[in-house]
Parts: sequence; structure tokens; C-alpha cells
Amino acid sequence: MLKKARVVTDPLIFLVAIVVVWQLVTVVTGIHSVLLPSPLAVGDILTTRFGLLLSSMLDTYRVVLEGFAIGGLVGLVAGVVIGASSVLRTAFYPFLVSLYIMPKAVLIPLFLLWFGLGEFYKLLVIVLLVFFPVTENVVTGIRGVSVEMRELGRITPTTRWQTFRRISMPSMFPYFMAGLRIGITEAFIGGVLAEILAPHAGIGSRIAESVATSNTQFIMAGIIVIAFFGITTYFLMAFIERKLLFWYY
Amino acid sequence: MTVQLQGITHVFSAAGGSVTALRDVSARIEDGQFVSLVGPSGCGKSTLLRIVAGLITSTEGSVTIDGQLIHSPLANAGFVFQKPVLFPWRTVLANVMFPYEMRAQQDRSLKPRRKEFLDRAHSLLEMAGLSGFDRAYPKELSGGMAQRVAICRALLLDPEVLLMDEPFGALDEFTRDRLNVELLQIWESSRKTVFFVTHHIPEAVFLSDRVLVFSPHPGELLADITVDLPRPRVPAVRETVGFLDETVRVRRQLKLDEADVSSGAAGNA
Amino acid sequence: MPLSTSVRSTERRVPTPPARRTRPKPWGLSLFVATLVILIAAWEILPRAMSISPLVLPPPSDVVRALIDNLPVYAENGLVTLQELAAGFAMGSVVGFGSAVAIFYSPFFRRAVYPVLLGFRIVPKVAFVPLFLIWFGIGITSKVALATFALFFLVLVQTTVGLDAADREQIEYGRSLRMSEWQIFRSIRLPVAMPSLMVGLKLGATYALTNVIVAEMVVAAKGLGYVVVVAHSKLATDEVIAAILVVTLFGLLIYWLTSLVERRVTFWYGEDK
Repeated sequence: MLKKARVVTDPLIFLVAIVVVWQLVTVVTGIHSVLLPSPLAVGDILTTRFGLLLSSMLDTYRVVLEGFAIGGLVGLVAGVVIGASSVLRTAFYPFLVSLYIMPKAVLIPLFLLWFGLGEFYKLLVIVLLVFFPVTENVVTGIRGVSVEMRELGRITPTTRWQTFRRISMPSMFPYFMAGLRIGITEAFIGGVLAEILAPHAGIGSRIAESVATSNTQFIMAGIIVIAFFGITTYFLMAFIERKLLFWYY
Repeated sequence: MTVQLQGITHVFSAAGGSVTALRDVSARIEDGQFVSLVGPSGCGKSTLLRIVAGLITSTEGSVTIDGQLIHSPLANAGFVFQKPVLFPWRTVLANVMFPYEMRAQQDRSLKPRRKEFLDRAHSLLEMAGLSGFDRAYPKELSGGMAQRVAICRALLLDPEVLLMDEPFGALDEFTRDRLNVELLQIWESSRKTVFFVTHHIPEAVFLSDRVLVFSPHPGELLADITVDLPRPRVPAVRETVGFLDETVRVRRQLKLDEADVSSGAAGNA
Repeated sequence: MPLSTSVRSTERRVPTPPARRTRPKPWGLSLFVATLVILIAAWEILPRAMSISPLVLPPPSDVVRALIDNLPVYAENGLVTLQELAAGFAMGSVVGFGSAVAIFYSPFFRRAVYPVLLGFRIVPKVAFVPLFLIWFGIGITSKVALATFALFFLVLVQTTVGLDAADREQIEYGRSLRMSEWQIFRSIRLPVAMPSLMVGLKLGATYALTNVIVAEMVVAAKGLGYVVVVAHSKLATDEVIAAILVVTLFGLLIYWLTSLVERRVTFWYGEDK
């Protein structure tokens, strides 16, 4: 029991220690708050500007979740289609891989030219980031269906749809969920990235604007809010995944 | 190398209590003897092997080798596991040479003798029927071949005692039979002291001078059976009445009919 | 090994994809090229047919012209981006690797520091771009720092997971040979960790490139990200697309290079035996 508690307390103690040292450093060295604001100053922003931070974050969060949902769906469909057909896989996989590897930030100027500043370009960036990890995992899952399973499908008289529904789908599902877990972190990256490069709404924009005013404590407070939402969402996803996949783990 | 086990008891502490793996095991193994440790899963035979190797220190009791108390891993023992535990990034030859390389890093005087050990590695591989495979990588080998490489590796430094933990347990019956014969041939030429853990009774009888039979939960030495079959043993020995008699003797000692057999049959992974 | 489980518990739930060595089919390349040609042809023809302004979607021929006109610009700025990336790659991987070793061998670090870093791994690193610009200025240093930052986390986590991946038997075998702790690290744990570490380096390079490009787009005087922004400010769509293609090729080149090294280093990795 004692050991179990330490799994939680030790990292917390470490975090508190960092904050204390950080505070001491700012006080002792008298470093300028633009370079390194004290934790207390950041905490002050977190409380006094809480309304602004939260509403900006929620703006971002909504687009992130929308993009995540669309990207997950697109990724699933693309993965099933590409996983089932080796012709489509050979024809399109290289493009998808290239799309995944390229730094998607450079697409933002093009999107801005096409769609203007708004929610849509943001959504597009997020979808582009989310869908590939999902697709890749789904393809791996479908192609990884064991030979035995496939033979089982062949012995018992089944239609192609039944084989897919009863054998491929459940086998692929854990991979799909793992893809979604990567997808949610990518969705946050996409949202913040789009906002930093083309500020107008959302927490990323507020952070980017603070560079001009050298408001470092606000940037840090923003990062903390993003981190909180990102980590919470991730662990929520992992929790749901665990519940859904009780038979797998 | 004469190995003396004296009152060995080993207790594993685990969450929610402790498990006695071995209780009061004493035995004396003479130099050059081939000894099998036989028993169902959970009888602590693998633990005993690790105690002899010095990998684990027993809770009570002592191991003396030629009168010397053992604390740290034996300097001149060859260990063979159930899995081959080859290093996939090394070729077959480099795997066999691994013990030499590690020893040479610790003992500079061995450095100039590299050629000598390389020759030895080659001749061991040849003896194991693996000549021509020295540049292959482990993923290209079958299970039986990989295990042969592991045995060659264990023999490279010419150990005085060979410790084998179900080395053929993961192989199919035919490969196991063949490797048993090969192992005996190798052993005949050097007559090392061997500790051989298995739960396969015919294998134990075919290979051993003595079979130590253990009971499960906790592991206790039930019987110390001297196998009365002539050496060198050829495969045909397995078809003799004498062989059958010996297996029956071991089987009786295990009291398999009374005990819960299911755990034993499930295999010792 | 007191807390090895705590390391695994976060990683265990990722199903490991089977080692995929897709054998290229004989018709694979021609099919891919055919798809590429069809897509480019459609891009050339359709906008004209539908009378879409070349200001919105310039045909491939315009893009190619912009590409050729700007080749010296790409070369000069690509070199800057490459330098930033290379410096960050070297620093991030060294620091990440060193920290992973410390975490692996120090129960305190493993218990207290590692979980914090694992949590931090989920935080989008792009959010730090503004902060790094304030700390390290608008020049090359901030980009190098951002690349280092991205590499650090991936290399750290992948190395720690890799060092943990050695079997109980492999370590036991090492001990039975009386190998020293250093020998076990050098000759067993490190090679075992290699495949995982290489994945960290490969993905890390890609993430680092994203960070560098974003920083160059936010504020810079040189670099491929800067080139994209300049093209955008001129509202020259053909130049924007050309620059995007260049950055994409640059990213693919980096990925291809790291994959090449990965295959060389871990050629032995595959089916378990």
C-alpha cells in the first residue's frame, strides 16, 4: 500500500521541488520576468486571467475534438479500404506516408489563401494530422489478422461481409484504438500549431500574441492550461480504451 | 568438480506472503556426473540450478564446490536456458565467441589467445553439425539449431560444470531425441559435471547417471535414483526393458497418480 | 528491478505492430507512378476546364516554373534549416540518451522524474515555440533549441523503454558469465535497446523538423519555413505550392536517411527466436 502511494507522491514531490527551485532562482538572481517569470507570477496570471485562458482553451478544444472525430472517422474508413485492397494500398500509401512525414505547418499558408482565416483551415490541419496514425494502425490491424483466424472464416460458410464484421473488425479494433490515442495528441498539436501560425481565436493565438508584448508569464500560463487539457484528455481516452478492450489487455 | 548441497532452503517473498520453493535439499554430486533434476512445475528445480550457479543466494544452506563455498556466479560454469538466449545482432560464430570476448575484456592475458578460442568455436560448431552456419544470424536458424549454438557457446570456455535449464523443453520430440544423443556424445568426450533440469522422464533417464526427483510446493528431494544403464548410450537403449524399468522407477517416485498432475502436464515455461 | 513495471505499464497498451517488411510487388512501382501521373494530369487539366483562377490553384506547369526559378533560394535556405536540424538532432539525442541511462539506473529518477516526463510527452511541443523565441532570440539558436527539445523527449522515452526490453534470461545469462554491470549495459542492454532507440531518432527527426519549420514561419530571416511565409506574403500561390513541395521533399529526405540508418543498425531485428 505504501509503495502504491509513492507512485503518485514521488512525481508530485519532484514537481513541487522544481517549482520551489524555480521560485528561488527568480528571487535570488533577480532575473528579468520577461526571461523567466517566477512561478508565483505565472500562478497570478492563472487566477486573474482565468476566464480568458479558459474560454480561449475551450475554443481550441472544441475544434480539436471536432477535428479528432472527423480525422478518426476518415482514418478508419481509409484504413479499412486500403487494408482490404492491395491495389489501393500500393497506389495511395506512398502519398499518405508523404503527407504524414511532411511538416504540415507549411500547408497553413495555402489553406489561408484558399479558405481564409477561420475555423475551417484549423479543422483541416487537425484532420490531416489525426487521420494518418489511425489509418496506419487500422491497416496493420487488418493485415495482421492471423492466418488461423482467416482459415476459420474460410471453413465456416461466411460471406465476405461476415468475415469482415466478425473477424477482421474485432482483430483490428485494438489497433484502431491505439491509433486514436496517437491521434488525440496529434489533434492538440494541430490545433495549437494552426493558431500560433495564424492567430485569431483560441489559446494558441493568445500565446502567439503575447510574444509581441513580451508577456512571458502569460505564455507559460497558456502552456500549463494546454498541458492540463492535453494530459487529461489523453488519460480519459486511455481509460475508455481500457474499458472497451477489457478482452484484449 | 564435486558439488555439495547442504540443507538448501529457499523462500521467495511475494505480495501477500511468502512461498517456500525449496526445503532442506542436500545432495553430493561427484566430479563428472550427469545429474538430472526432475519434478513437476513449481518444485523449485530451476531455482536450485540458479542457486548452484550462484545467481541466487539460498535463504538457508550452502553450496560448496570442491570444498569452496559459493557466493557469486561460478567462474567456470556454462549455462543453457530453455530459450536459446542468443543475441540476434551477433552471427552464430560471434554468439559462440561471446563468453571469450567478455572474459578477455576483464582479463587482458586472454587477449592474445583469440585465435585459439576461434578455432575452438569452429570445432564446437562442427561437432554440433553447424559448420557453414557460422555467419548466419539467429533469426535464420530453427529452434533446434539455435539451441545447439547455445550449447556450443556454453562449452567455449571449457567449463567444469554445465548447468542446463530444460534446454530442449521447447523443441519437438524428434529434435529433442536427436539433441539428447548429440549432447551425450559431446559429454562423453569431456565428462563434465552436468546439472540438467527437465520434466521429461525418458530424457532424464537416457542422459543421466543420477536422477534427483523433486516434489512440488515446497520442493523437496523425494528420491535420488542411480540410473543403471551402460555407457556409452546409443539411441537403441531407449527400446530396452532396462530403460523402461528405470523410467518406471522415476515415475513411481513422483507419485504422479496421487498428485495433481495438471500443473505438471501444463509444462514448465 | 524495483520499478520496471511502472515503465512498462504506460507502454504496454500500445499493441506492437508486427515487424512489417512489405515486399515491393513487381507492379507496385508502375502503379504508383501511374497514380502520380494521373493526379498531376488531373491537376493540370481540371482547373482549366472548370475555369478556376491560377491565383487560387495554379497548374503544375506554373508550380514547376516557380520551383526552377527559386532553386538557389531553396538551396540556400534549405542549408540553414538542415544546419538547425542537424545541431538539434545531435544535441537532443545525446542529452536524451544520457537522461534515459540516468533514469534507467537511478531508482529515484525512475520513480519521481520519469512519470513527469511521460506526462510531458503528451503536451504539444509547438506550444513552446513562442517561449523559445523569447528565450533564444529570433536567430538560429531558438530553432536549434526547439529541435533539441523535440528530439530529447522521444529519444529519452524510446531509450528507456528499450533498455527495459532485455529479457530476464539475457541478463541472467550475462550474470552467469560474471559480466560487469558496464559489460551488461554495453553488450546486452544497449544492443537490445537499439531498435526502440532508432524509432525514437527517426520520429524525433520528423517532429524536430516540424518544430523548426514552425519557428521559422513565426519569425526568422532564413530557412525553408521563412521561404513559405515570404511566398505567402506575396500571395503567389504557385510559389507557396512550390515551397511546400520542397519542404515535403526535404522531410522525406530526412525520413529516408534516418530509415536507412535504422535498417543498417537493426538489420537483425525481426521475428523473435
